[in-house]
Amino acid sequence: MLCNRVRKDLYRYISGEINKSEASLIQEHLKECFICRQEYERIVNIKHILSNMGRSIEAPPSLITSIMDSIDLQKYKSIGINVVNSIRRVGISLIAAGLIMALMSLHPQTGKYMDTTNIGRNVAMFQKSIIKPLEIINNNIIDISQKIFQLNISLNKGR
Amino acid sequence: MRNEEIVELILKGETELYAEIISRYQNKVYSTAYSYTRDHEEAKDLTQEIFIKLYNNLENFRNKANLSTYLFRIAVNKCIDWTRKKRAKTISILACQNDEEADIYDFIADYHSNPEEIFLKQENADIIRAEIARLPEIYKTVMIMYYFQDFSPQEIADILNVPRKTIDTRLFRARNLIKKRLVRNTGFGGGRVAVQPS
Repeated sequence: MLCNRVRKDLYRYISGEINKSEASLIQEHLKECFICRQEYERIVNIKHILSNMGRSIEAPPSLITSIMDSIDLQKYKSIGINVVNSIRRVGISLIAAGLIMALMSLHPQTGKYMDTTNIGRNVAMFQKSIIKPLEIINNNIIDISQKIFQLNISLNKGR
Repeated sequence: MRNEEIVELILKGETELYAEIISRYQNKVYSTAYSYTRDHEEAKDLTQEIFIKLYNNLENFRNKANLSTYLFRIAVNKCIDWTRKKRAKTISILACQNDEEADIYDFIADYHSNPEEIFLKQENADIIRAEIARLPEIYKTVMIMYYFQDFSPQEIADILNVPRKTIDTRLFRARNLIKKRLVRNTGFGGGRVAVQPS
């Protein structure tokens, strides 16, 4: 293996990011080549010293608080999925209620808002055109069912 | 709890949990910032900006990458921006301070008395650190990430979003650059080995 190639791979070798076959080739080379072996040892040592130095630098204790004070804690609260869903549900209900109220209070021909007299007239029309015919149908059904019941009784007596 | 789970909860409105993310990474981010600035106040400001940016971009992070990779990508970009903005000031801090020059001369004296061992002494790490700080940006970043922050070449490649082979090459070239500079500036080259042809 060429020295330059080995020295390029030493960084990954030291970090344990090299496959077994490559690692064994490097190990073989390091056994034979004094210069590369020294380079390897130097990198390991410098890395050890500098990473210790890096770890010894600690953030000031007040850092978390000052970051938490600087960020907008409402940012994700206001757009949280649950919050959006609840708002959406309430919103849909309110819209539906509003539409019903608006439709109920519109004059059927003119589309204009009605006063209380018109609302009363509208209710009377509703009763006359829908409720009364339904009552008549309902009474007829009751009559028919009573007649069928009496017919059944008379048939049973005849047996 | 895994980072990704915490992020999901934050995005659902439990924003106070962000303190946990900060506490997990604050030292490493601060140390990275300090490696660039070598000034505690500047490092603190930078760290604060980095975490604020991460928080504001948590939605973009979702399902894209490892949180640590994403955080250090922000960190490195912020540090590089800082270096560009403060270049003149930084150079004066990193390269021309009298006490550092004195360290180097002390070191040379020691080096001649015990050439093979002295390089590895803790106090001489400052010399290497100063040399790393003088490197061109692309080399400086990989050196800081590899040596100070203990990231592997693959992790650095992910953070910088470049091929891993590029990182191998940058680490190799950066080390050679440092050796050459030490030879030129101080007569030190990491031992006789460094000046021998491979």
